[in-house]
Amino acid sequence: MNNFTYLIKQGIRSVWKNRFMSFASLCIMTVSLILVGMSAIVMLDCGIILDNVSDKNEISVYLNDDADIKHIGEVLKSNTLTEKVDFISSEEGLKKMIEQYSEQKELFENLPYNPVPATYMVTINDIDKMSTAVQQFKAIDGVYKVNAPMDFASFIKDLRTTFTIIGIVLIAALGTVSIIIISNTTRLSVFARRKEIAIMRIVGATNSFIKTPFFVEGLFIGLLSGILSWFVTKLIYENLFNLFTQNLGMWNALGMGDILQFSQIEWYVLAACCAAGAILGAIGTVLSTGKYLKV
Amino acid sequence: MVELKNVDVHFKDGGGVDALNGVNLRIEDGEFVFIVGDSGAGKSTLLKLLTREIAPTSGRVFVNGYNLAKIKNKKIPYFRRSIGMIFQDFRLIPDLNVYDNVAFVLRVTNKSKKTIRHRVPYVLNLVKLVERAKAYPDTLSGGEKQRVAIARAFASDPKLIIADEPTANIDPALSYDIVKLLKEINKCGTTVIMVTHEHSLVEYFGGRIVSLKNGEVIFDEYVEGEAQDE
Repeated sequence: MNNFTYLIKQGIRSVWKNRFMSFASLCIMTVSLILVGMSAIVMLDCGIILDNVSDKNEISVYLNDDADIKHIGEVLKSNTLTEKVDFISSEEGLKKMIEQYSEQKELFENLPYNPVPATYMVTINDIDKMSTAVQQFKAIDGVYKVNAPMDFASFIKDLRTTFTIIGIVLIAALGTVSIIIISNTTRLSVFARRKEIAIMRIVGATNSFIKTPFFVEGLFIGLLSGILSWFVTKLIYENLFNLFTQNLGMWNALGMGDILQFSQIEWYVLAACCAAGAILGAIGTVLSTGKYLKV
Repeated sequence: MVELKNVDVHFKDGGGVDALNGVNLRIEDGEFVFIVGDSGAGKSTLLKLLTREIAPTSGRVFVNGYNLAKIKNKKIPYFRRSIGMIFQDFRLIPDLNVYDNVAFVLRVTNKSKKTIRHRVPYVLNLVKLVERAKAYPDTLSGGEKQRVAIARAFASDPKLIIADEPTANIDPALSYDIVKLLKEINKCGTTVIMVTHEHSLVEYFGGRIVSLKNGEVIFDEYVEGEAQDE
């Protein structure tokens, strides 16, 4: 225990002694962890939005006036991608439209004929196959037009893919940079303490005794970066969240009403940031002590 | 005990240098030995062998029961705990005070706080530096720095102390005090090997003198010193 406290103190003392490099490492690691953390949360949010959109993945199948409504209904029901089929007659459709646009009610009052076609609202079971379903429904005889929220779904899907790629690239690039910076800090630490290390060696200090303070140093910077990045991520995310939720109705419509609140995941984010920081710090230190500290 | 049997040390760097050639040397426990020789005679190589900073190219080296030609790397720290080193450039840690410089060795070797509290004042008293315990190396004279280094080397009560030209960087008048201090430590039963090129010191104190030249032992005898006549 005596030695353990001594080694911890030595490691933390070393952070202060090399404060310039420690600060540089801290900043780089914090920025890296913030970017990686934000990407991860955005990926999670995209997943939630996609799930919400999937819940509302209704395709509107509009029919010709002379279409065989019953037959088309059966064809739609028998499709393997179909989960649910609801029929809206042209009268019901017009009624809904008048309700929806109640402020412009007069526009619909003097119509010479009902322009709203009979419609099947088809819910499909897999949003990824929406375009296939649309193609198949369009091919049915008597179908006038097919409308699907494909653009939004594909936008969210693209967004998720982009953030996944950005996340992976960031993890790889910033992780490497963090390790190099930490490794360099440790190298400078080793250099600054070379006399002490030489004396340690000659008086019989074991390799682990010599290396532990450097390990503590890397770990300490890593953990501190973890905590800092968690705090900054929390600030950024909560502000963005407030910005989005100010106009909740619109975002709800786009399936974004359920995106994560930071409080739901803050402990996971803190644990992940600290763990990632500590792992990066430890790897950087181990690489450096292995290379520059031949004990 | 220190024993070297037919030890050769050959360095490949610089086109190949034979630093030690067929050295045979035996130093019994409790002896005080001066090692003398000109620059390049092999004194530093001999010391590096005895602290296992280098391994012999051939031959066998035994120190304090350890076979240094075959010792495993992970056992080297434990071997080094059985020796104390004193250097001509003192090698004190500048940001530790006198007390902590001495305590450092004990901390590194995992001694308890209680042992540190008892042992450090004892060795500081031995080198007459108790009053300077809180002083930092920068504020000490050369002689005081070397006394701290001696206290540090003796702090862990080693079986063997190796002093590498301990009087080289201090006032000649104080050199005698340093050797006297080492002699006192030797009287406690600790073997002392002191490398020096100051013939006046050797002539004054006398004792066993080992002389090296071109990597070979050319002289190994007991010599009467002036101090012994006093």
